[in-house]
Amino acid sequence: MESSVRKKLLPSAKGKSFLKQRWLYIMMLLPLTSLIIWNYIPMYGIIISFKDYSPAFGILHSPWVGFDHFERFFNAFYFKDVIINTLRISLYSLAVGVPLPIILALMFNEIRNKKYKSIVQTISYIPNFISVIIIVGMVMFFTSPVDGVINAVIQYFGGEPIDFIGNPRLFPHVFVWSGIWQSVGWGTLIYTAAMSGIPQDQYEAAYIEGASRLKCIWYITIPAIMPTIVICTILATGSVMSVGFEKVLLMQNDANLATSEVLSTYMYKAGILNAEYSFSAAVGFFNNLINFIVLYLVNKFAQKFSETSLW
Amino acid sequence: MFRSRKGKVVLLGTLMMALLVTGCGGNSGGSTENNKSSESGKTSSSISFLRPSWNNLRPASKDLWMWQEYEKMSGVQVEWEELSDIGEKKNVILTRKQLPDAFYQVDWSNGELLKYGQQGLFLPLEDLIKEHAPNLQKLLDENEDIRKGLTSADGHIYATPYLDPYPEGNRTIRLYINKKWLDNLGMEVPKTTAELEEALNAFVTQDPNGNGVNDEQGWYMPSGSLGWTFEQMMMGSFGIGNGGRKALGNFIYVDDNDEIQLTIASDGYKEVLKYENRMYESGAINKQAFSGVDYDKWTADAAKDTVGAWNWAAPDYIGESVKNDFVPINVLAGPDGDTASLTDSQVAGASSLVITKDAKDPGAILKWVDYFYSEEGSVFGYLGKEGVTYNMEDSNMVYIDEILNYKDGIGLGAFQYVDNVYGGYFPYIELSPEIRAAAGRQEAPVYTDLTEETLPGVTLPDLPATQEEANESSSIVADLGNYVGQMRVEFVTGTKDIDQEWDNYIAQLKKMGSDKYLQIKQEQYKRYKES
Amino acid sequence: MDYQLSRGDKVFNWFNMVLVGILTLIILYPLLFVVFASLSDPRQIFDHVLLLWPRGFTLDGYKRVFGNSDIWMGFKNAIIYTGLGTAVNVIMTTLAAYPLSRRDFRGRNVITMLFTFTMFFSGGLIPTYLVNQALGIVNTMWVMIIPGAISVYNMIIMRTYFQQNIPLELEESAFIDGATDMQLLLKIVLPLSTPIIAVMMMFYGVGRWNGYFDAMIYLSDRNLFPLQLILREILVQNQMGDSVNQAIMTANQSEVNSLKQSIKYAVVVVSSVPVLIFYPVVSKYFEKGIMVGAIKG
Repeated sequence: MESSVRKKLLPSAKGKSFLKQRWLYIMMLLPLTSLIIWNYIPMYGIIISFKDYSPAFGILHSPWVGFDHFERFFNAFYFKDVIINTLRISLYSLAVGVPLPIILALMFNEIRNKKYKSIVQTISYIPNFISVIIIVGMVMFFTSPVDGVINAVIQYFGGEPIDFIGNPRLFPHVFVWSGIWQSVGWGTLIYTAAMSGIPQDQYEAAYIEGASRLKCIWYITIPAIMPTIVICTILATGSVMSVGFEKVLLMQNDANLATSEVLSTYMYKAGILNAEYSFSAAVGFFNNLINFIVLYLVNKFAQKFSETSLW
Repeated sequence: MFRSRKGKVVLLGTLMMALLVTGCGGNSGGSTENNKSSESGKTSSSISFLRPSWNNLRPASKDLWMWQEYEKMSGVQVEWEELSDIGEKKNVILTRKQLPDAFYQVDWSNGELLKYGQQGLFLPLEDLIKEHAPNLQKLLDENEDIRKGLTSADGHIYATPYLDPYPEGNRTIRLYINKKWLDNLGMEVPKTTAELEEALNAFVTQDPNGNGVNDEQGWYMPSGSLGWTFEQMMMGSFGIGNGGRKALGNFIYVDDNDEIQLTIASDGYKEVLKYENRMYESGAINKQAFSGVDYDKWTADAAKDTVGAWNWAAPDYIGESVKNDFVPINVLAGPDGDTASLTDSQVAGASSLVITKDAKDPGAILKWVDYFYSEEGSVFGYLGKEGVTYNMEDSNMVYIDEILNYKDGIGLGAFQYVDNVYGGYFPYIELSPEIRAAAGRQEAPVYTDLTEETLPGVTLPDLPATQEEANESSSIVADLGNYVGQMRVEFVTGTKDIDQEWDNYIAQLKKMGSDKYLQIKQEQYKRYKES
Repeated sequence: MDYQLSRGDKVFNWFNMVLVGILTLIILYPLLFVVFASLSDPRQIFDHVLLLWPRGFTLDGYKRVFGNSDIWMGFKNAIIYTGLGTAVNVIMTTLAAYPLSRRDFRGRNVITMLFTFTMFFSGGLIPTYLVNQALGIVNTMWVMIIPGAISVYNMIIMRTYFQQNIPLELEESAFIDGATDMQLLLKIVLPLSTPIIAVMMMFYGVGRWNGYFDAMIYLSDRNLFPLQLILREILVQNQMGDSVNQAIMTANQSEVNSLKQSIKYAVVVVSSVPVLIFYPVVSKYFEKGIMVGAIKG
């Protein structure tokens, strides 16, 4: 809506000269400086993926090895499994992790009692502060087939106890949903902020026309936060190869290893434990390259089919 | 794109500003570093050590009684730099322009020692030891195992060790079985694997804790422990345990022909798995052996008198309230009468003190550390000084009351004064378990089943590997570890039949490069024996 | 909203309230578990499937946490780093997000690409460390404040908000009045953007508060340690890694273990309570945003 107005105005903006926009460039000066110093100057470190890095020689003087580390990785016995496991968990995370905060934020937004709203919102984001070690400890206890609360409920309704954490087929569920539990409330913040920018008169006008609450959500709220939704989704797809390392490692055991071994944990075992920094860097590089390509493609797609995109 | 030239100017301006900022900062950075190094170099007899931080448990090293005392005794001032999470920081630390003189108590793998040694970051020490460290040299001369265990594949020694000459101490992992329960059921302490099975089966069926509830567990430990505690101990009983803990951890053992073999591909291992499978199915091994129980949960359960048996080096791991219910078993005779305890090499740590290229006076450092390879030094490191931190009681050295009555236990009490009581890996030779126990007015356990006979025939250190071997084997080991771990679960829990699947399992190991790995290890063992 | 609700809307309201209530309870229980566990005897935490009150009530954990002499210093440092760091973050992010939100800003796409690229590719720890070393900020408080000024993710979120919520008419009329872009940002855009600024403060603030990695890598002077690093030391004992065996046997391990057990949950409570105060404070700005939004319409 507003952005379409904006587009109409664009031609007049086109004529602006650099001088007219000088303040915009001045604003960018500090951020760009920071970007250059802490991101682009160290960027040469990428080459250690193609070298046999040793601290004795430093990054620049370590010997080149070309694509050796990549070959070793691609030829690794578990390469395929690891990639599949990573994608399984991350796509699953995306599928539930992207829409759920939006839905919850919409639900929060519809609460009229301010006190109630404030309390539930506050509670919902607290789990975000609990460290992974504690989270995993709780997950293990709550899901325990022997004395966990979840299985107690299952048994109460006559079911058989389920070993959630020791079953490779259930591991992705446990991992993803415990993640949702921890982050869904926090994830609503962005949308809550976006919704608070919606002018109230739109709702009032809709109400006078007799629109129901659901209709208001559908025709006013969602379109208004659509750009935020699109952007968050694009950004989320850019981490398709990344699965939180620490939590997987802590939840991993021999019983669920068939689905719980992901890129980051594999890299840790095969590289970092043996101080093979270059190998780890190569795996990381590969990982991020895929992430970047996915993000790029999704963004291309967004450019074509929606009004919002990263660039 | 920047179509206007002005755009480029802006970018250029930003770049210059960036350089400017970097430049200014660079200067100030240099000066602070200079300050630091001049500070640490103020006296000629000062050395800088980098070590792990234990500051959350005891005073900083510079304030610790022991190091202040040793500074007076040795006349050498040590600048301690204490860092936590060194494992994650090693990489960054090594890029410093000025390395510390030495790394103290930092864990470097054999591969790292060799690599950084050959690249000149770490100094070869064998000649310096000869010259400056008579106590350590004596140990090397008199004990071939120590010398071989420390010598890298290139023939150099790059570190001084953490030595523990006593297999009856923390070097051996034993089985602890609930004596109270055995007594209640009128059973003897098991001597064979068959008797253990019988006892554990009785534990889970006959309510030995007498509470009327079937809450007893047989063998029970935090999930994931089985593979490297109980199973490795059983390897000794099933004839594939010769070589010691480090060898078994690397999936190898020494067979009767003094050849290296893979434990995980042997017939003995098949029998171990079957044994475990039987016990798992009967409930004698806890159902959650592979997932779902962490240390907190386990100790909480143990406190309720529900644990029948478990493995560790000392009984207090299970918690103070129940530790006295358990008696240790070092070896169990297998079906063919085999016994071998799960004992580690006496070179318990092979990288306790590493001297770097930036050390001003490496000889002085070795001289400094050599004291701790003498008996007097060992006593000093563990007990401190008579009249200060310990007193004589009936010819026993016993800690002072402040230590004995420390709120968090005697060990941590001693840690407030001396260093070599917690953490391991210090450059040092351990005192006998008797002396250590007596220090806390306790008695060391006496093991009748830990003798020359029952110790493994050889106890290998981490076999020295060349750079090439390390590169080649590291990913094979990682893959084998993953696969064996997964298959152990399937075999033991019975989701896969051991007899039926065994050939597939072996074939899969070969696919992962187990033959190559075995060959590398055999090669290393040959070199080790000849060195 | 004081106009009358239709029946359907009333049903909707109740349904929504109840559903949110149930979800909140599900989220709440584990939180209560942590609080109760922090007040319980570690050996009794698992006694029953539900921990509904402290079992074997004890304040040991808290006594130990607060008995640690470094805790207060850690608090002080964490507050400094979080306060200053978040200020730097929000200012820098705004400075980048606003120009990039302007569709007439030349070079917008290129600069966005430059930023986005760094989300995926970085030189890694060592070159970054060397840069900080060259700047002379290693082992000073500045290394906790200045680097990492912009999270690209947050910057893009903020940019999107600007694009979405600042009516172009306002900007246009401001230009006609002769305002510069800087005046526009300060006088018109920012006052209309309190909700997103609040969100940014929370994102960055919590990130700063919880972060320990930079501190772990760059700080060696204990007097500079932030709270999280000190708590981490308490919680995650330095375990001597051994490449062969998964754990080493060392003397007096059990004493340290039980120390750790008694303190584990109290550490979580102590470290997260300060952040909890954040939200009620910041959430006011959500409301303000709505009001301003209403006025502008």
